[in-house]
Amino acid sequence: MATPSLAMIPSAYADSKVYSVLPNNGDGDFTFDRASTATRVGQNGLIETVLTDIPRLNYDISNGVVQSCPSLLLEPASTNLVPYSQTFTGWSLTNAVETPNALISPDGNLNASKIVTSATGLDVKYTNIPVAANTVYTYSFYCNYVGGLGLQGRFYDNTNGANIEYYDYMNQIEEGKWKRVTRTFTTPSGCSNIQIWYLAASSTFPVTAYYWGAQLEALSYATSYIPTLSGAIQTRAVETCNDAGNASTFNSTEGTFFIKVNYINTTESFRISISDNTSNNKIILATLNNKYYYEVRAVDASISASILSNIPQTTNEVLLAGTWKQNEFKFFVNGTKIGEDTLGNSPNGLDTVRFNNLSTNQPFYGRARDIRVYNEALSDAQLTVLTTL
Amino acid sequence: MKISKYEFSDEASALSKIASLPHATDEDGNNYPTHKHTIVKLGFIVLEQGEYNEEAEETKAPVLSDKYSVDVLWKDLEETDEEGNVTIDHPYGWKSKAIDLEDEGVHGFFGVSYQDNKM
Repeated sequence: MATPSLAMIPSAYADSKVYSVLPNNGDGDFTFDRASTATRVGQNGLIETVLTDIPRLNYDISNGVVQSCPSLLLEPASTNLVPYSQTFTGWSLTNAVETPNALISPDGNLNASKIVTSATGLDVKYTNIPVAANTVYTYSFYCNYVGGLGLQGRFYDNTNGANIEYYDYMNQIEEGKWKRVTRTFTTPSGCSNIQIWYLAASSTFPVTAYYWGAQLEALSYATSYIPTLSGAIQTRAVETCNDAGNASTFNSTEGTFFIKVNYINTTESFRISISDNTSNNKIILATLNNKYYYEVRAVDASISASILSNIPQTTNEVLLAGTWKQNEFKFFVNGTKIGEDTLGNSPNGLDTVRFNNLSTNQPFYGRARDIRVYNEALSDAQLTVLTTL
Repeated sequence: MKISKYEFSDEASALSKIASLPHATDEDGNNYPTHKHTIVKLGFIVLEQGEYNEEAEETKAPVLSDKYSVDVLWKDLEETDEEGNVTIDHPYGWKSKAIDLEDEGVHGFFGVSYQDNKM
């Protein structure tokens, strides 16, 4: 197979920079930006803080095993609305006993709290969290289960004086292991303040588990952990990663664009593009209407190719490839040819790869594992091999 | 980068000011911000916590601020005049809503001190 003209396989970085493997003269390096610190899972499997403008090469944990190859983690801005995310400071405990600093937590420190419930009527609750009405929130926390039955969570609407929901999270935890529990809910109309509860609906006591890393975000999914150690809620700033390559890096006449990524959710539209830094000439691998999508615009933003798969967007790893050549455009997803357009112009002046559409529009959020651009349109056989999981 | 905290009389005033920051329209007609600022709408913050009984029912209502709070981490606000002097100021219309705290406040930008970076 041909050698890519640009290849970014997350492996090296510096302040404000994600290095590409090819080209090796620096022309293909990405400019990275994040105006706050953030956390990642390091090579040792522990959550650690990385400084402002340092890209996050995140080591995913799969079935309890830290993966050997990192991914480039790109996330939107998000605020953890839970004060004191690592302790039960400010929480109210009834029929439950907390032992702070009782177990090594997912950050490698002895700072997880043990909660033992001693009788029915247990509740461990934080009673005042300002929220917006009719808004989707996701609550997440790390739990290391010891024993007992009936662990549940609850959200309560203070404004309307009504329960939002109880939920069972026993199926998300495992004895003796740290697991991140997530629960997504929508605040009712008029709701401006909620309570968050842990409780146990058990026929036998005690029920015991360790807790750490509580996080409430106004998103439909959980993002990386944002500590709130001082009691003030904290915001992680948005991340951008753009501007790789120049006019000599790419062949506008023909080529292949390949990405291997995990999207952060199954609903939003995300784009990774090669363009001339305008909308006039652009090649996009994207999600659209919860499906995978390939688009080429040429000359004056006229659409040369527009191919939408019928494969539902997931958060699993996906491999997408699109080719461009005068009157020949192909789109492959996970080893399958999705479609082909046979009428259209090639773009002009391609000079940059961006993890968005243009400017800040339709950014990619998720984990990028491999980004490549080839200066030739690969054959169907080559594309099948390239995009097979 | 700079951090500022603002108080507006109501949510609509805050949203209007946020909407006045630079935006563009893409080829599909979608409106999107072109700035790199991080804007956090804190809303009416709790000044005094409410109290609740074991049934979760409110026994004492929380006291909320009558101002709508917004925190902003500003990026690339620097302007250079013809003589090379660099100035940084709030975008038009924001300065009059700015407040100055002596501590970090109820909200922070992860790892970035408000006191060290406030405008």
